[in-house]
Amino acid sequence: MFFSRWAGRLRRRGLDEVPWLFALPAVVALFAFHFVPIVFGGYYAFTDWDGLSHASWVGLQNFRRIAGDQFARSVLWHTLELATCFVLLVNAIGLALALALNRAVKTRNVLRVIFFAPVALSPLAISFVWQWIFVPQGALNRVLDAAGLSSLQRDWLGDPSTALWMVLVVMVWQFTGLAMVLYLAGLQQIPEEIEEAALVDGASDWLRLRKIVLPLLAPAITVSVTLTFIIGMRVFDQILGLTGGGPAVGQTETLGTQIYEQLFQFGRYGYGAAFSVVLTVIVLGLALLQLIFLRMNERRL
Amino acid sequence: MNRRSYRGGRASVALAFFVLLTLAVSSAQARPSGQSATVKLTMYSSGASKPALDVLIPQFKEANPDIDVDLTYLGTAASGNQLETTQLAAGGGPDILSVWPGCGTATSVCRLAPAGHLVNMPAKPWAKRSTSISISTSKYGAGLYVYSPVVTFEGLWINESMFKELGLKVPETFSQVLAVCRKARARGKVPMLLAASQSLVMQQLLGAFALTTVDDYPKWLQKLKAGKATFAGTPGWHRALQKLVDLRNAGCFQLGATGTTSAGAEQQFVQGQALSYANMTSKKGNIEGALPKFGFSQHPFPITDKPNGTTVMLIVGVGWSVNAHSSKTNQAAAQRLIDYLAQPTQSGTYARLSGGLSQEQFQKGVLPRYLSSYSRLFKARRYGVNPVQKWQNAETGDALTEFGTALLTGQKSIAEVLKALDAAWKLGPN
Repeated sequence: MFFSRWAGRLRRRGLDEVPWLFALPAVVALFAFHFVPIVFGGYYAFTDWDGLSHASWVGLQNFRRIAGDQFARSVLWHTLELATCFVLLVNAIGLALALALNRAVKTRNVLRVIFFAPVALSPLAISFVWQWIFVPQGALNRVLDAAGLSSLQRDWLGDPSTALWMVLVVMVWQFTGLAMVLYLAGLQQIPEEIEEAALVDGASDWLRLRKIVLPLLAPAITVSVTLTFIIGMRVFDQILGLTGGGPAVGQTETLGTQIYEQLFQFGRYGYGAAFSVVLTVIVLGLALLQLIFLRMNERRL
Repeated sequence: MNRRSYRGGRASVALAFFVLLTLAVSSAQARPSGQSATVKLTMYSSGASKPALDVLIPQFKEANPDIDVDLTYLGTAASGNQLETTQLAAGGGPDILSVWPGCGTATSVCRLAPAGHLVNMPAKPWAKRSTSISISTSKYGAGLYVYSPVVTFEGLWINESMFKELGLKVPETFSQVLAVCRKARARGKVPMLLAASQSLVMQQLLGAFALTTVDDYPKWLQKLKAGKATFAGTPGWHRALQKLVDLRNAGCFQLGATGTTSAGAEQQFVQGQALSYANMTSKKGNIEGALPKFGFSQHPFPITDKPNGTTVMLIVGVGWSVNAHSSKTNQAAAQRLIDYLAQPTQSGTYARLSGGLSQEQFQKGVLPRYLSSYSRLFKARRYGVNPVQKWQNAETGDALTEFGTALLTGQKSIAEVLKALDAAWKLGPN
């Protein structure tokens, strides 16, 4: 009865209920497997749930513990440090590659595929391969030795001063192709006539890049920076595969790995869920601020 | 399109959907006539058990054609914890779980049993054949929940050929260990491989040291649990951590120890690149499987200079439990499989292929040739359970790993490590 009245109301507004019925299973699945778990996760952040028995409400205890824990603060710092360096490097290198491959180079299509291919691979699988490259007897140290640079050999993943940067190398290697593709799409939106006009007026390459290309690339920059920032903040697979959060006291621990550790190693689901909430709030907040700032920039142009 | 044909279209779609659903359900339930019903068991087991279970499970299936076993080997301890706890929280999981005896991990007896996820297995014949050490860690309250096939030891895998080549004797005291390290280093050899990037390795090594250096460790643990002792206030723990510092300063460990995984260390050892390898007996299967071109054996890791002064650390191996969420039929079949694996012949095969001593071998003090150097300490009953298996939470074991590794790299001092252990202990039980 209810559905027939609802269908009638839709028909009077000129809407047909059949498309909605087809979409209904997907909408239900979206709520069931995406939104509902988020709400439950948020609830568990305020409990002492161990994943196996009953959850008791503890209020803000988990968040107070995070705020007062020096280790948790260092984890947050590592996450922000990694994400910031990742965004800067990936976008700089990605843009350089896009500018280079936007020209009429014979092999540009092949090169585009080669640079994009790592993006399609599993981050965890890539990290396990890179681990074998970085181990003391691995390919990197052997190459350095063969090149007469054995003084540069290191325990790349076991040395606290280099471990985090090796994680960054792998992340940048994998995702530069993504930034490149986004910038290529943006470059191809720039009308050729504008660049040609600037060329005719005697503008140098650098001037054209600064005054024409980069401003018109603003929408692509917004998308790429926001996307890579989220990827950087969520880093997990690379750390799990390369260092496991080590060496020693959480040298490469991030919010993502800390959530995993609290949940599945220590069985502190409530505390881990609180970390998830903190991560979500930080990522949402910073990503929104970034988006607003970049959009304002676009509008100004 | 008029209203009649529109309604007819919708009815056809609904009818087609109903027919498809019926066909799907009936084909899932259909069974060719004449075939007997087979109970399909799902089982998780740690990767260390692979050399043995690859032989024993097919034998079981041959002897029990009405039971089919779908076995999955878990990767790292963390991934195994993740898989099992997630499934158990949803009321599912395999019929046979891989469970850690004692406490200290997310899938240990003391977490899963009180939450009602494990089946009590009272009055089993294999319980009488099991050591009291195994039983004590396999129980929770009055119930018995885990069968552990082997007991393994922390020790030193020795490259016998390299020792002979260098004219060195296998060390029997801690001072001799340091001397061997210095001599081997001077000859350009790696004295001791340590897979310090693997969490359990550091935890077990330091736990092994503490069993010897902390006076009357079992009594000390009671005091710790009662709040009458701390890690920082116990000289024995200072001494245990000092041992690691002494080994580091003597150049015992390979370059890049903190970045070396167990797989990497094993590879180096079987390729004859080091004099010794600090790890558990359960590495036997992997080492043997790599067919090293030298003789090897495992020896107790000497922690003191007193003759027979070392206490060997035993690890009650990861075992199997029956899932309380499984059907009664599957629970009965799971118990049959566990009972089969627990028989003396099968458990002896398990120990031979995967390393360690079966429960019967331990009870009788029967040591295979590669473990013969443990006989003196065994006869003197100089052994104790892995401390972490008796700790109240996983964070304390993790702190021992992380801060112990930081001690190795010189980032943290002994005092800071002990402070971290106390802070982790105060978080309370998992």
